[in-house]
Amino acid sequence: GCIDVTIEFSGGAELLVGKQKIHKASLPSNRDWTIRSLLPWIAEHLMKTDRPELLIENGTVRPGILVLVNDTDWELLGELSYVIKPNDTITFISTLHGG
Amino acid sequence: MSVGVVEMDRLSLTPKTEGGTATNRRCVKCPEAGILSGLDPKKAVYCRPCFMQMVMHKFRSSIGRQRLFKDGESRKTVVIFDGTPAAAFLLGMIRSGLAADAHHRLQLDPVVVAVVTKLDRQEIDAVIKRIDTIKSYLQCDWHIVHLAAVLSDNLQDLSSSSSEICPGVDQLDRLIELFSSIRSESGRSEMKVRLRTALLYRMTETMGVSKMMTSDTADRLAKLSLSSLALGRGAQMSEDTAVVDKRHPKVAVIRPLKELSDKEVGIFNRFEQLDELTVIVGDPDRASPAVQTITDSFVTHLQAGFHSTLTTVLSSASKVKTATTSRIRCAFCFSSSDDRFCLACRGILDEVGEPSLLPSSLQ
Repeated sequence: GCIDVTIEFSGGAELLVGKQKIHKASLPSNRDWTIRSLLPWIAEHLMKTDRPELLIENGTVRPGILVLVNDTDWELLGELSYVIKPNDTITFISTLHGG
Repeated sequence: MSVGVVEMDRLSLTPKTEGGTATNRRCVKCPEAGILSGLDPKKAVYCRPCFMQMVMHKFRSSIGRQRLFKDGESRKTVVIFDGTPAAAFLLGMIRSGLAADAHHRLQLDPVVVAVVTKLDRQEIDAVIKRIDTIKSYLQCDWHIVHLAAVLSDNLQDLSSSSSEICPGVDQLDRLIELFSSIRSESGRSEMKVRLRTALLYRMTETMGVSKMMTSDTADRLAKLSLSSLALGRGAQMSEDTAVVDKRHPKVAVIRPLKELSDKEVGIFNRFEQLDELTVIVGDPDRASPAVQTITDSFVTHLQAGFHSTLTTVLSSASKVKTATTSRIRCAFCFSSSDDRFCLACRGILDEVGEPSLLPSSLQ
């Protein structure tokens, strides 16, 4: 079985994942998933750039990139420790924007 | 693509909380669950409608508080569009404000000026095409100009909509040469900021408008004030971060997003699809270190761990002023000066290897 989740990128973060804003992902259910363990999965399966540090830095989300889980601020949900549930929507919003 | 109509007020004020995951905290404004926070997640949390209302209120009150558009004074205002999420947010706020009922209507007649800073002609063309699609979102006069226009001696045709080419592109090679002749990466970055500001002052004045509105957020202003401090602009910190900046004799700069963070703007844009209005108008920062990029990274990282960083930097910056004010104004940045140029501008101008490439007013 799999855990189906939606992973969204906006605010410019979509440039890191082939400009695709919405990704439907099926995570293997043979382990527990947290945001912490989801990050390397994203780096391996979704990122189209050879610079994963633009999204992931020192094992966490790079400062300047916001994370919402089901439209809720991850800072209120335990951040990296949040345990992902089926049908969750995880959104990465970049506020780092060249001008 | 066409920019869809955004029914901001209706969406944002819907009474029922939509979605969200339980956080065990309550909204500070109503009995609903609190799912969104501003700068400090340990302080106020909001449900989605109250969060959206809080953000809009910050924008409206920053303008209302300043009594910027007193009766009798012209409401014409140049709105600077630089393609950032904050600039997209500003367009959204203006459109919403102009559409509001008489009591809440934003008393402002916007003229949007979009500044392109890319240095590759093909990329410039792509940016212009993109801005052309964004124009339909806010129905008013739009002018697209390239940063290199600051090197033109006559700016009269800048605001002429009959021109086929983007004003300033004819000076592109000269601008590239100018940047190449500046010795340090920090100097190039600083020159870019100063030239852009000088261009906007000239354009706004040439158009006969006395007010210019920017989309600088708390993040942007805090980073700018610290890097400017490192570049010798301590005396200008208060003016550089003020909501209303009147150092120029004829043009006031208005910064209505000063108390809004990039986080608040980013979340708001996500819910209102305002990200559809963004475009990257400039080149990414170069790999080599510069005071500006190092400061930006420092502030961003510090804010992630210490949630009072932005507010502390800005409240301190607002208090830093010169003891005395000279009547002489710097010919480049219009700050108080003891000479034709202030010390900081003198420093940046001295870094130019080919002074003849500068605008004649700066030689």
